[in-house]
Amino acid sequence: MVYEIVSNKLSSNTLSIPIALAASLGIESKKTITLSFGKRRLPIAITCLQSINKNNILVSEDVITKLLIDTKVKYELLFSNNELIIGPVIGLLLGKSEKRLEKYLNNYLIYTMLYEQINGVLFVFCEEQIDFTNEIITGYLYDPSLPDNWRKCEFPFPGAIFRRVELSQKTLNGLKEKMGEGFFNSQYFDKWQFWNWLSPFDELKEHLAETTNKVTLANVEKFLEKYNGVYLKLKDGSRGKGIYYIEKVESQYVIMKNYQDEITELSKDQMIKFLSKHSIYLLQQPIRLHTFEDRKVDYRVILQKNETGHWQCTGIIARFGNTNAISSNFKANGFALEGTSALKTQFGYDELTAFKKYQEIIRICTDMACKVDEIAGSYGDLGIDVGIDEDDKIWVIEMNKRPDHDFPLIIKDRKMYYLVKSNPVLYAKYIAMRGY
Amino acid sequence: MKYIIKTISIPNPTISLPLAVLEKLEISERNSIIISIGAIKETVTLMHHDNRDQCIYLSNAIYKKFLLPEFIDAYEIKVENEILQIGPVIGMLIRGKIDELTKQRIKIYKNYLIDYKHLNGLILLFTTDGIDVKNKLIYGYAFNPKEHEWEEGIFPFPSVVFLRRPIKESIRKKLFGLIGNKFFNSHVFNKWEMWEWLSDNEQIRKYLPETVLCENIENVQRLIDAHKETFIKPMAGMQGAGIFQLSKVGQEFNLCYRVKGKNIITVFDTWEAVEYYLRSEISLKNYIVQQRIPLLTKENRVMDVRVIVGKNHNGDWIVPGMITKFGDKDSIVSNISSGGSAQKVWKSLCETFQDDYKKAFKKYMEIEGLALTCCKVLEGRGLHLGYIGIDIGMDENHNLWLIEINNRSPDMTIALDADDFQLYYKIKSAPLHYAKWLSSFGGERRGGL
Repeated sequence: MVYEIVSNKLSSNTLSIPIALAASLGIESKKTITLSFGKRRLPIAITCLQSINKNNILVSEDVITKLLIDTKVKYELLFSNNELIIGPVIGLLLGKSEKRLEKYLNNYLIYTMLYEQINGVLFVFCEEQIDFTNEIITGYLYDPSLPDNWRKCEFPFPGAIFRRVELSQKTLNGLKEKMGEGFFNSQYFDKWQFWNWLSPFDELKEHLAETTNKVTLANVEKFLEKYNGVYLKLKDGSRGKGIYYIEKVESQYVIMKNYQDEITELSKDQMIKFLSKHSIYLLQQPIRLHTFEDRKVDYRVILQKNETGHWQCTGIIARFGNTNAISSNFKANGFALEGTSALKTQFGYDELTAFKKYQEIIRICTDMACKVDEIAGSYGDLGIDVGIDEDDKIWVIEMNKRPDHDFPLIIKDRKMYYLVKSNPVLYAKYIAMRGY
Repeated sequence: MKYIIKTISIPNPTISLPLAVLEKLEISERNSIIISIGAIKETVTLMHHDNRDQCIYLSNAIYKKFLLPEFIDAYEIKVENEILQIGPVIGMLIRGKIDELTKQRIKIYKNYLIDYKHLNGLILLFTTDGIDVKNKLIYGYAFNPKEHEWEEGIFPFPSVVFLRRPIKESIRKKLFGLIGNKFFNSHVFNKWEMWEWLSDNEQIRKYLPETVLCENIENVQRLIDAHKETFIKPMAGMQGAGIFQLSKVGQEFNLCYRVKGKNIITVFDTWEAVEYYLRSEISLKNYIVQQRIPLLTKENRVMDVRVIVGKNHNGDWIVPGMITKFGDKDSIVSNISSGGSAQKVWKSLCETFQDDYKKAFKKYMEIEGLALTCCKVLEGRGLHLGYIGIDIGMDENHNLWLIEINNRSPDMTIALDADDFQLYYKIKSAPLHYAKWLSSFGGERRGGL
């Protein structure tokens, strides 16, 4: 049920609710409870009234001012542990600057598609609109009653923030301190951290490419010995940028750059020099992907949390790369298929085998996501790159913390696209309204 | 982590685990511990070994007490309430008597185990006469994952039970005594009970057609006067069987029903004639009357949506999929079994909304949300459900209506009618994943990693 907040000018520090509602929430009259709106909390006296509209909550004006409650949108209520939450209050950290945020407001409407199931305050904002001193965020509130949908307002720190933009370290730390677990997809990490965190767990390590951040000739030799080749990669490069593939032919090192045909041959001394120039890179075990008609195939697993608060797979999209690249980075002449169809096409699996493989992919990705949650903080929206090698074994190549949401559109699956955009908001509501 | 169980020759009741595992479970300081497998518990001496392998050693006598079959080599372990649990041990209670079961007859239950890889442990199949309450064991069948076959024998009573049949109160009591409320899908409720429970809920009420008991004939007359068109449905009916359509046209009443694929219409001049007919033809106390919702049709075929709702490996209610059903041409009901066809809901919603995808999506999510809310309300009534099928229709103004809830082993082959094998496998494997969660072995953040 949704409720309207009505300002009460005649009293101070009180909240009045219909008697039947109080009973169903388990609230006793004339008690002092904590009222929460976003991260702001206030002890208030509660009274139950017989004679008010059953969907109205009367809140004294000083409380509305102190908590920065917007009285034009409708709210849900939750009462637990003597705390009454009016909400949800959800902030989406989307824009790089206020100017850009304003410019793209219409694009952000996609996040509000399920507003009827969300209710409360749903706003978009950017870094420069955060006032840590006064604990106020300025931003744009989604108001379905307005013809142009958005209204610029001041908000308290919300119950949940979904991050999808670069941030300064200072703001990042400030928000983490203020928001705790309510700030999700907050922490970005690179390939080395990913390996470092997950490789101690045998069940996870099994599906990860061995990685080291010590770029030395000895390590290159070790990887060549073990895997007949090695990748030299940027720690946080993406889309195939900054990748070298190294092989050894007799005593010469053969280096291929960025999936191009440009091949360099280096002697041992040249190689030492080359590696010293790339010391901030990583060495990584190459995964021999199972190809389909000479195309490398990789699987993008869209793993998100939703209103259940748990990880679930929104969909899998497989990209069949162009025929020559050393990785499957999707280029102009590649194509894409939905995950199950791709498994059937690429491996000739029947329906049941494809189902089992699909489940296995999801399970491995979920186990890793849970572990990353445990170690690095809280996430709600991940794009995981998975590869399947020549022995049909599943490898997790990379976890993207600000994943491209347009993947479903390349297979023209609009329902999946809308879900990808809606799930983080549903999860944000789950966090904002769960109580403690 | 998966563990294999082996025996050691020690006279005292003993369990031995790798030291690293004991440390992870935070029980390395203990000398003895209670272990439980299924519903059986034993206090044993706790020891450790240094083998790197994932092996649990049980002393011979204890191993025999737990009646574990030799063909299972993937158990999971966890400590909860000071008890070391080894499992999962999941049971399916099926129809029939133990003597009647043949491998051929129980073959179909293997369909629930297609994702055994993520279940592990001991999966059992049994009948009501195979329950031994005193010794906490069952006489029945266990799934052998190596042979992909059911093996007959005596096994520990499972810690959770998925019911594939309705049960009598006496069996309910037995189960409750053994495992508390950890058995699901046992409740059968009729259409009237469903209406009463759901209409209590403010969020659902607007989705329910007005419904009255047939027994109270004045109410029936009032309903027909108010809505002109009504359905008379048997409370316990399924799949559209035995439904009459009663409509008021001018001063006349038309009663329409289906016999062998044909619509038969009887016309009555007066309400008294209708009442006389109904009293003589049907047992009024077993029927309800419902306002007829003019559901959307496509080429004269009634259309509604079967929402499949189930609990997943995290114990959350989810909708694995939905199917649009189309009735027979001009039939009053939309059931596949009465000659309809099925189609994926997204596709039919896009057609209904003429490719306004945003509207289609919002409606899709509204249908899902309504189904999930129903489940939560029923659960609030104390029903322990694992999966059900909910029929939801849409009228010409695109309002949703709750038509029916099928909780008596809803037919999952409907996914196959829509040619959606992935959905079929998903809903087939879901109940045991939920059962695993219920036995406290499933879900996220498993300690075993």
